[in-house]
Amino acid sequence: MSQLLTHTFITAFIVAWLAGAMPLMLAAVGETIGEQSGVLNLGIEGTMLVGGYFSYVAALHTHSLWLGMLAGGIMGALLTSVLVILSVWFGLNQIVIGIAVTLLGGGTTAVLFYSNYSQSTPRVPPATWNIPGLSDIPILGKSVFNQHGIFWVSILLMVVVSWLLTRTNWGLSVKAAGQKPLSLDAAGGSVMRTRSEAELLAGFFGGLGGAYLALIATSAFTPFMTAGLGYIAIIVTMLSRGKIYLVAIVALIYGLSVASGTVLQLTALNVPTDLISMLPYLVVMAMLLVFARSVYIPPALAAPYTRGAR
Amino acid sequence: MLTLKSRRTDARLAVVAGFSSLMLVLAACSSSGNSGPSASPSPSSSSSFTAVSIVTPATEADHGWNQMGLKGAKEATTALGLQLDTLTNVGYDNTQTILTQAAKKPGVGLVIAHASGFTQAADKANAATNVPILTVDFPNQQLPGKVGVLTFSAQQGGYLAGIAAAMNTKSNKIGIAISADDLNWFTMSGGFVAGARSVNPKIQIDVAYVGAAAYDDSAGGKKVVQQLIAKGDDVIFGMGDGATIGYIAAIEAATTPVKYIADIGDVSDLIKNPSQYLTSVLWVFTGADTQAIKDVQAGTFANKPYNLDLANGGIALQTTPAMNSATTTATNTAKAGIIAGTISVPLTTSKSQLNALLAK
Repeated sequence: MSQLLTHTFITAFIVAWLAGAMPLMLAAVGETIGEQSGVLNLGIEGTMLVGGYFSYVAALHTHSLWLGMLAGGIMGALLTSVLVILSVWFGLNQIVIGIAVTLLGGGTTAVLFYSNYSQSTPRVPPATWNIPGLSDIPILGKSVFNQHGIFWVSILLMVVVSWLLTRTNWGLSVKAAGQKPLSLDAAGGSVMRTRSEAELLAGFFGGLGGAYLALIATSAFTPFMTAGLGYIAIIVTMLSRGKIYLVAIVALIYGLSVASGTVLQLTALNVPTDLISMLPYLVVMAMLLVFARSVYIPPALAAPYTRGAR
Repeated sequence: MLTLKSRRTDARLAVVAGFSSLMLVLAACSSSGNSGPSASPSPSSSSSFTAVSIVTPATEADHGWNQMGLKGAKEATTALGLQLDTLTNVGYDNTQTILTQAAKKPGVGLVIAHASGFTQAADKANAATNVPILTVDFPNQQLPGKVGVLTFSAQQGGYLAGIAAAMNTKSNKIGIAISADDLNWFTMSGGFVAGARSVNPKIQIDVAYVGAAAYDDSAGGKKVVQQLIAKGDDVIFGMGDGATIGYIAAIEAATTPVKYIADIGDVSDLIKNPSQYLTSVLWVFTGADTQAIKDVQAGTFANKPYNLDLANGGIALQTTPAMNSATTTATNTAKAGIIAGTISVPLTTSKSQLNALLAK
């Protein structure tokens, strides 16, 4: 037990915690933007996989994690455009199209990976940033303040999204599109355009989540590596009531439970493997139960908008 | 409103047309890529045949179970002048149908069902086609002449790997990373523990699981191995399939010297720094596959289980540049002792048995 209280181990635990939380956080921020506008994106799992795969390819070819992340975000938005066209523009069922997007993203990336990288599975070189002064702080210096710049930019992007949703006219339009799209229409706004913009931004963040998982948390891509993280992001979104800081808190609790699984095993406790696997999901389910009454779903979520229809 | 309906109809037609085109392209690709025998079905004979079929749950890209299974079947059929028909990456759904289809292919006289998850479907596929099927892990599923079973004395290889780990650790702390609750992972881990303790009875051995069935969880694999390394373990024995990529990523990212021991397959082409790749417990299927094919030809198939062990070369410790001469000598001596029966390797077939061994 004393070996678990060393600086090195606690540092590794915090690194694992953040690596578990950040992909979920980014994806859930994306899902929040989309849901606030009234679009339920069940395809976020596929979006994350597409973002993860193309970020991996881009990072391998350009030797730049930054360009990899950008590629992941763009490809995530591109895949989400399927949902935008079919569900937002043509009014097809969002649940059906979302599932199709998940299958499309997972299947396509698996085929591409097996045909291009499965023999060698190259890894993206690990990269860290040292922040002068802060990196020397015991434990936090080598865990939090040693994170790559992508970590800090991701945090900044989430702050920007929070500001966009709460302090700008665009954010107001997004919320109107999800709550009373008719009012937005009557006020001269375009529900279609607002939902399209919001959903493309959601896809970008979903792609970033997958990219973070592949490039930073794993240093590689493997088919279906999200393993249900996209669906957890949907739950996190519903728990967070459209508030980005709540998204961050719930994602951090999830990451903590992921990292704790190994710690529990390395103590003297004889923890069943099934429980370790279930722990993050149990935590999310427990939160869902505890906060069930405060779960907020925009009234117009998943309802296609047809101008002039009653 | 009419316009809206018309747009929706157009969209639906576009989706249907798109998927139909995709299906046609995939069908064309699958038929053009079929390198096996011609597709017209004909009855097979169990004693005289021209081809063997192997069905694997994933592709050979796993650098482990599927890679070595396909390699063994290919070498065995090539040596015996037979064709090999491969069906890879079939997963675990609808396996009875897939095994039946594999058995019905013209000229096929044996189907290798290369996963313990295929066992239940194997006897049903045999009953439907009368083609012998070789499956794995469970000897009680054996049906003489019909369903053969391949078993593994993986603990013997684990024992040698444990010796190699104990002789190469500087911290006297070694770790085992396991991706799933798997019979063979438990047996190999038990052998590893015994082997390491035969060198140093006081060595610290940490065991961490990625999950109950996290074979392909590369992110989880990296997280687990990072924490083992942080605890001070400087030799990691990783059992994983896809999770292996995460193990290797963690070892490459380590700031302290760490060595890696793989299992089943050869991962030397995955690891950038050869000094980090200590060895692998190789599973070589060629001999068992060859014997099974010969038994089918002779009409003696599945009269007893087939087995991979050190004595028949089915289990072997890979020689790498990172293994020094002392380690090679020690593992060779232990190998001889195991084959001669002077060294008894414990068999741990469950997590509780492995935990009991660790607690001793």
